[in-house]
Amino acid sequence: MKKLIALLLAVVMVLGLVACGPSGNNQTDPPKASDKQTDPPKTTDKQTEPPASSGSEVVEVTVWHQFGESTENGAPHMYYTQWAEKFNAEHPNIHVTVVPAKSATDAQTAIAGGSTPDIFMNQWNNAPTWAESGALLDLTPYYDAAPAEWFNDFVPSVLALCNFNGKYYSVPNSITTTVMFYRDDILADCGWDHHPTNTDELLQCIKDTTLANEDGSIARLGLLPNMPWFDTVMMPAVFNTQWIADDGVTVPADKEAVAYMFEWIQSVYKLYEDEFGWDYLTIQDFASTVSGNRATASDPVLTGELAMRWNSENLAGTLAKLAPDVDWSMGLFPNVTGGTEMAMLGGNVWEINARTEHPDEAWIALQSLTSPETAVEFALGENNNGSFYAHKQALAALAGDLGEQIAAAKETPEEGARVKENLEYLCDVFANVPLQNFPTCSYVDEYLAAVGKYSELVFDGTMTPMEAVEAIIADIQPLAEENPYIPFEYHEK
Amino acid sequence: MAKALSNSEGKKTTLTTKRKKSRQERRFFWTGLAFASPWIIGFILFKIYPICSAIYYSFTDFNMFRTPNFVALQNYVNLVQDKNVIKSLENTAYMVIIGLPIMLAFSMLMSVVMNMKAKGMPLVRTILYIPAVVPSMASALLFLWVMNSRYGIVNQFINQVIALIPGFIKDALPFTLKAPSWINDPKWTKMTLIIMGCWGCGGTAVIGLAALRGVPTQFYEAAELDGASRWTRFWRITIPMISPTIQFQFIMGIINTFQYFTQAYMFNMFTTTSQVTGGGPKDSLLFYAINLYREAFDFLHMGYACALGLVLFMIVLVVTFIAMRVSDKMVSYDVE
Amino acid sequence: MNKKKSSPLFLVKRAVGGVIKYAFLIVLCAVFLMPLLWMISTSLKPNAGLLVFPIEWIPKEPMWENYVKVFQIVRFGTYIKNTLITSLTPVLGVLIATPMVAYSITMIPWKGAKIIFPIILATMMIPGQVTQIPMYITWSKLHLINTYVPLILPFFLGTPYYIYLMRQFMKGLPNSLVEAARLDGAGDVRILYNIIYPLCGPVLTTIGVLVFIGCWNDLNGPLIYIQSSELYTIAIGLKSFTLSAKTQWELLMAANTVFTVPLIIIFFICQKQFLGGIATTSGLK
Repeated sequence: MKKLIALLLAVVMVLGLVACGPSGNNQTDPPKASDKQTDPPKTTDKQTEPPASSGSEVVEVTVWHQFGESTENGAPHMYYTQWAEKFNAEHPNIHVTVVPAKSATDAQTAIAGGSTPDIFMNQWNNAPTWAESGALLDLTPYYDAAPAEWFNDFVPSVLALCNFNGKYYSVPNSITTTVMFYRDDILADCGWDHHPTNTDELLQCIKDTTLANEDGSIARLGLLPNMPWFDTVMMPAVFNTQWIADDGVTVPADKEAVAYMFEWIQSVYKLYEDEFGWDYLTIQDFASTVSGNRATASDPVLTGELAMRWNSENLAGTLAKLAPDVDWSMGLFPNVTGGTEMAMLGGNVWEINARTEHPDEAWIALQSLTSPETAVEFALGENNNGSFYAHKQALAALAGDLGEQIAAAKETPEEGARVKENLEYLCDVFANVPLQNFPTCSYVDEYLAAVGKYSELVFDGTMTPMEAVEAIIADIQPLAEENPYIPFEYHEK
Repeated sequence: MAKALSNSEGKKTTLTTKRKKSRQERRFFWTGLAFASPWIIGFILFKIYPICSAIYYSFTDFNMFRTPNFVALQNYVNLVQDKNVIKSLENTAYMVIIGLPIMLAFSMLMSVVMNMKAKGMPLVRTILYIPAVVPSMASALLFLWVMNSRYGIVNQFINQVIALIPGFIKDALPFTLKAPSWINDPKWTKMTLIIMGCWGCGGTAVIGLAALRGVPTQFYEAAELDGASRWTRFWRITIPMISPTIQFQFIMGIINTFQYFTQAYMFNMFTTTSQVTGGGPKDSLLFYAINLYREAFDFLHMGYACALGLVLFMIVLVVTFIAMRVSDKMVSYDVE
Repeated sequence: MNKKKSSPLFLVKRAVGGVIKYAFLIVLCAVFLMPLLWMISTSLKPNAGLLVFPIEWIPKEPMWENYVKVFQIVRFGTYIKNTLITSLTPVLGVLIATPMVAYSITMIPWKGAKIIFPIILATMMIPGQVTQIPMYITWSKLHLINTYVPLILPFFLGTPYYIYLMRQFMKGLPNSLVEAARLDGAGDVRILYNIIYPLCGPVLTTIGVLVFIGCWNDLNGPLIYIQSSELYTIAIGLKSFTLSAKTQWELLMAANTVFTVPLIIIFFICQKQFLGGIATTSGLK
């Protein structure tokens, strides 16, 4: 035992000596007596001067992003690091440090307990709750002071994700939507020479493309009804309804429309049950069997276990790479019969910590990080056919020369052609289809949780669609009345 | 700390019989204090403030970021009416009442196996410990694969067993025999986590092994000479000898199972698609700590979460107290 | 020699018993070895799915380059050095502090012992989620965020779980031993290190190994307290893979394997200590 302890002691001491170097250098210094007082987390009446360099002291600004620390070329971390190097060279009085692998939850504790990070990446659905709680710096004055070419370049609808109660708390980073992936060859075999154009046709198409094995088990599903954001974000867009009415208080805008929406999804489950004898649980089991293979060589779209798949658009790049010769294509989810074409909107955003000691410098860094030029550069990275930057210029570049460049760099011409086709299609969607997001209300997470919980009870037959809608209202209406929602209005500068 | 050690050693004093008792008492007090000082320092520095803040926050509307407002007992009133709290208590009670005994018994079985005498035991012990070493994310992913209802090894085995059962028995049964849907059926999800717990019990099994190793071999030799069977030896010697460790595992099991979090969190993360912390199929995995986490970090109701935490503390305190009282009677620390 | 033990019936019984025993052990090992085999197998496949059936245990063309790639894109050198600091130092801490506190509450008859033990138990009953923020604030006030101190220091201040475990073991030791030593004029430090430590060999080794593995695998602590990538540990590096936009299970599993194998080897080596424990303990009487 003694020997063991002695040995340990020795090893620890050696390691301690080795470690002293980096750990000493990289410690972020505790806040020294600076000219700026540390504000209490009050976000409403923040005084802001136009961004100006203050004194000769170098100001430290930390940027936390959510991607892994990877030295692989084209990895997001490399792009942020390269941006930081360039920024630091151009701004002698600001020093930006990029910290990888910091998720929203990591940032949460740090913000609650101190002043780091200055800038961090977040999911859109956290933004309203955090803004309401005073974690985020109100960026409206900075938005007002920012140049028109910076502001006007953002895709308008994505700014809605950054706005809470009429104020800006975040800056858009990426923009995502979700599209339908069709196995065109399977559809053709089943007598479909075109994609379904509305929800009625879709139901028929699901029926036609579904296939059972000889023993009655699932060989292929037309569509997996249970998919991320299917019910909460995308379906209202498809069914032309809103989770919150225009008055900002009534949830949801149209009870019947939401009930019908649940009923439609339920009808897919019913179809499987009535035609093939697969109950809700069987479908769920099938779903958990294929879910681990998403975006791999065994993706259910590539294996043909699904004829149609609803997924985020970043699957396109992977599919093009893995199987350039499989016959698939993308399209928007068919609309409710008689409705108008809509697509869902999501994305992640950058925010500034309300307790930052250097709000002005943080903003200078953030404005550079989200400038149209930076976005065009970033668009070349590994995310080029994953998430898209929420900038008009970046999207235009992707659809044009940049897209050519990316396509040409792919391993095979087939893959390149597929990638180019996808980029053009998606850029067109982002630019021309009206995008609808989940309302950025302060109770967004409670709302999402309630919809998730009760819709599950509809699909497995425990509740009727209307009962579920009433249950959601019972949970959420009190919150909605306490926190009226102010819809976002876009005005170009 | 080193100073405290040398101080206590310097207290070697020869004791006179007259003042022996009081002096010895004083000596014991100071050495006791010195030896406990690391914990006392840690408690004062790092425990008292967080605990007091949690208590204070539980009477406020604290949201993690803003200065909290006092709301008196509002959080506790809300808590009593909260449907999620009741559901999460039910799920947690299931884990404590059904899951914990299964996991404890299994981990003891593993300790006994690890203590067996056979060729290659070092290797066997290491292998039995592997699931506890594998990063929890990897083992959760693997477990989803093992328990997959269509292709998982477990269900393939069960299906083969069912196929062996003659048809007339199956027909006579009031229900159809079917391999369960471990991951999606709310009736089975908790059992899946219990099995996962058994599989990763290496940590507690190793503690049990250490206890078994501490049983002096002479006892067994003596008993064998007396003609005691293996079974008798196990119940009469092994169990009493390791009873302090069993009690430790039992009490710690209660404390930890009430706070059951990581595995369920991981499991929900891989099986549900929502960005909000999930409670598994039909909230069947909404454990107390999961609900608490969701309130604190998703909904930012930190004050409410602190109230939840303190209520849990009270519950665990009472249950542990009773468990201690009951089990103390069965534990023997007597070596002779 | 006992007559009974050499009879043919006994030999047959023993042979059958042996076969059953080894069959049981082999089946058990197969079940428990699965995660490692699966991890390694997945790590050698090209762009593997997680749920491909039927499972291919031995890939046709093992992709050893997955491992090369992992070492290229992840800074394992830095991570391993950091992780060794954050997992070895706590072992030292726990082996010093925990027996001290346990000794104080079991072997020294003083008033505090009866008060301290229930408090130690009670501190474990408060869910960590509610004390997380105040804890962070404490470390932040001490200017120790982004250092290893919050990950290491607590182990030098006695970990409740292991104090309780040590207490149970120490209560099982004969009191007469300590009393005799005291009568001989031995100080408590000497009693603890010369008498108690050797007797607690197996449990101390167990605690050391468990703490080492626990710290090696710890993701939450580093995620909260470490804020510069130079100080990241392997667990954070591993998390990086799941954060990347692409699903690269094979690289994740390769990284997991590199992460896990050292632990398994350490366990394999250390368990000789568990065995070593018998001799000392049985030499007691």
